[in-house]
Amino acid sequence: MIIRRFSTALDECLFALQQGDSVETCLARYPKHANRLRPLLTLAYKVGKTPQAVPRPQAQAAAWNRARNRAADLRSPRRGFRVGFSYAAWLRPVAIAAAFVFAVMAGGGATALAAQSSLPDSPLYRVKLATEDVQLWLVFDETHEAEILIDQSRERTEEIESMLGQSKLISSNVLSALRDRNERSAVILAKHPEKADLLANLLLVTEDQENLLISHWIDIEDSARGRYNEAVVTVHNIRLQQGSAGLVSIRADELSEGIQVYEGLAEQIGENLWSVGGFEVRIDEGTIGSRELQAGTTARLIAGKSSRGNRRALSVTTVQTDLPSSGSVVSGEIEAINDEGITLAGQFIPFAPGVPRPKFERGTPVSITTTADGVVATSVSHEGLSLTWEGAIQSNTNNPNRLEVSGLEFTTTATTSVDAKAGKYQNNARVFVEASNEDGDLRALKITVLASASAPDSIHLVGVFQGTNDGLWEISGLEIVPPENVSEPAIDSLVAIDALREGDEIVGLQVTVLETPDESGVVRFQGAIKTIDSSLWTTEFGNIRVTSTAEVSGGDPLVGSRVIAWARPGSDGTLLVFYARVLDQTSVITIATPVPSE
Amino acid sequence: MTDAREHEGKEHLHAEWELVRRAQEYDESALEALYQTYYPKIYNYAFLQMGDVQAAEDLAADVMLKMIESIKSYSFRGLPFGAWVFRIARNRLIDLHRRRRRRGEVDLSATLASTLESPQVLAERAIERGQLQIALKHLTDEQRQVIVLKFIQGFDNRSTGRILGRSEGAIKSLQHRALGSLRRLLYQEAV
Repeated sequence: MIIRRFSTALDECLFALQQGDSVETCLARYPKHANRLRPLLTLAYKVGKTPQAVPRPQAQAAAWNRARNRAADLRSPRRGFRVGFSYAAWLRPVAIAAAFVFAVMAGGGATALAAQSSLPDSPLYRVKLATEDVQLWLVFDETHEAEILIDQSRERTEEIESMLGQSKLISSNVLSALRDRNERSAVILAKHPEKADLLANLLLVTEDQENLLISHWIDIEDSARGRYNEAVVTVHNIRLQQGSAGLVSIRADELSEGIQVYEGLAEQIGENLWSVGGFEVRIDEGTIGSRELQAGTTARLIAGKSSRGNRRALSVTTVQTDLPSSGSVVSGEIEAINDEGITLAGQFIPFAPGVPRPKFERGTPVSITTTADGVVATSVSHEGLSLTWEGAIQSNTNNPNRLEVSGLEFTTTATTSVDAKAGKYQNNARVFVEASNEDGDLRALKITVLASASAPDSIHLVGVFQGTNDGLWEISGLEIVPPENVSEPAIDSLVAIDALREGDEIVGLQVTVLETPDESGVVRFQGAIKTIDSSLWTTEFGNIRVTSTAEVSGGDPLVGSRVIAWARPGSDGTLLVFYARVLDQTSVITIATPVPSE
Repeated sequence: MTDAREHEGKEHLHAEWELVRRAQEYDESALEALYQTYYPKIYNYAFLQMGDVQAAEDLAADVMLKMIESIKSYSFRGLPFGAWVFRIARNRLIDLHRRRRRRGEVDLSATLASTLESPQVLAERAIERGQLQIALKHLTDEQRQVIVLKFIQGFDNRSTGRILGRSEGAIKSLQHRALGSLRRLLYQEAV
């Protein structure tokens, strides 16, 4: 038995008391000192139980107001993003990292190993980050440290992708870590211009991250919004400054009301002020791609919106009008999935960088686009649409977050993207709205301005049939007067309806059942037609066959017009369309004439 | 300490560090969270040593202001953030006592203590009534600090040492003497 000095025994007992042990338990450990320990431990226990003096609430509140004002003063000189920061700032997390790692080492290497594969929602994730920090302690070459930091930043990308693939929200810890790694590596590389290869790596990583984060604004935990904005501006500003601490930067508060995507005709209306598809937006040195932008071209821009309603573009690209490069979506039953891509309706679509791996789910929409390497999946969303609605904008001025289209009101959010390539987003413009029904509130996910002059009261909608009440059909939460002599679809069937707006009523004219709940193998394609050869249409997704038995609504299909088609796999490998909705009555995309092969 | 307690302690330390990092960017919700945690603690610390509500409120407000103004300079050294805040409070308290002495002001707690019959009676009643400051008045400054910081505020030896500028070993000895002195005051017994 080890004989301890009295002061050591006392100290150990006091510590045990602090941890919740009883006096008697402590005494039992030191029978030799029990008589001397007892009164001191009892006294320490009593002192610890002395009621706390409680401050007066009004005094505390008044003092907080003064402190808050002081904090506001300290905060007020708005500081734009600067890559530079002191090493002392990053030594702090390193110190805590050490504490964790040493604890893990003491507790067993198994925890550390398990932590390496942990995701941000795991309690072990902190250990993972801490281990990364300690790894850097042992590195004395700055540029090697930058290299490791870039790898760690890339790891954050993969973690976010994994979280999204599991339908989990992105939390603040991974966003903070992402920002931290990027900033630290940028600071080092700013001092080492000779390391162009590392800088190029960092720029690639941050580009992927900016794209990934922007396309997943909706998948961020509410409490992580601030961290999200900081992470986005960090990666954006690193890309902008290209390894040197420039003065131009985007501030996090310029994204406070969200990030939106707009496509449309670009017109310059002032110095650094442009109209894109009818939206006024600041495009300047802080906008990646601003120098290439020319008036009169079709532009796609990603813009932040501030609390004052001002839009500032993060990036702008010219849309190639000779390719149907955006807006194509295919959804259906996913047949196979691996790290490389997805198989849908017999066609393998490789993932573009930054696309999270989805689960096997029926009807999952996959956005596709054509690149130099062929068709790739650019995003996979788990959120199915509950309603599409085609009509005319009647008011979009009074409340910027409300949009009325042929009598139906939608809420536009920070995630609502607008495709205004075919015309300006303005009153009387005919639009196609893709929406979800959130407890009766119709949230517009995407608004596409159409090249169409249909009457404002002419409506086309696609939704889920939910039943009949008082003779009215309920379609995705909307009440519709059913067409005469039409039998009721099966509950939960997807239906397309041509209708008329008559006062407060939506009167159905024609109904097509697109998919019943027990049906499988139906594929939905949305995109532009590249060629039409009799019954064979070429699209980004591949060839689709539209036979005479298929129902086509919305007008005659044209090369370059956008279409939504429902199809089933045919025996020859092509998809057999049984219903198509033509969105544009004129071509909106110039299709390059194929060069005849020799 | 069990693994669970150790884990819990580290969890808390890390969560607080996250909060402090946000507060260093003057994030209002983070600052408010720190404020709501530490204002009552500093008030209690000050009240126990000064016995004056107004003076304790002033000191707590002053310390909180200083915390916000200096938070960017705080760097994590493996100790709880509270140790840093209490270090500010300790220094402010020393400054306050110096100023009062220079002005010839009478310490309120000293006045309160002197009105009662004997230290023993005072101390015993203080424990019973929860007015520990009266008994503490008869300890040396360092002994009083150790009693308050260790047994009321719950800091460990390392943090207490950091606040007082003493080593852990010194705190071990101090706590022994402090408890012995307090016991003699309370029970008139030799230790």
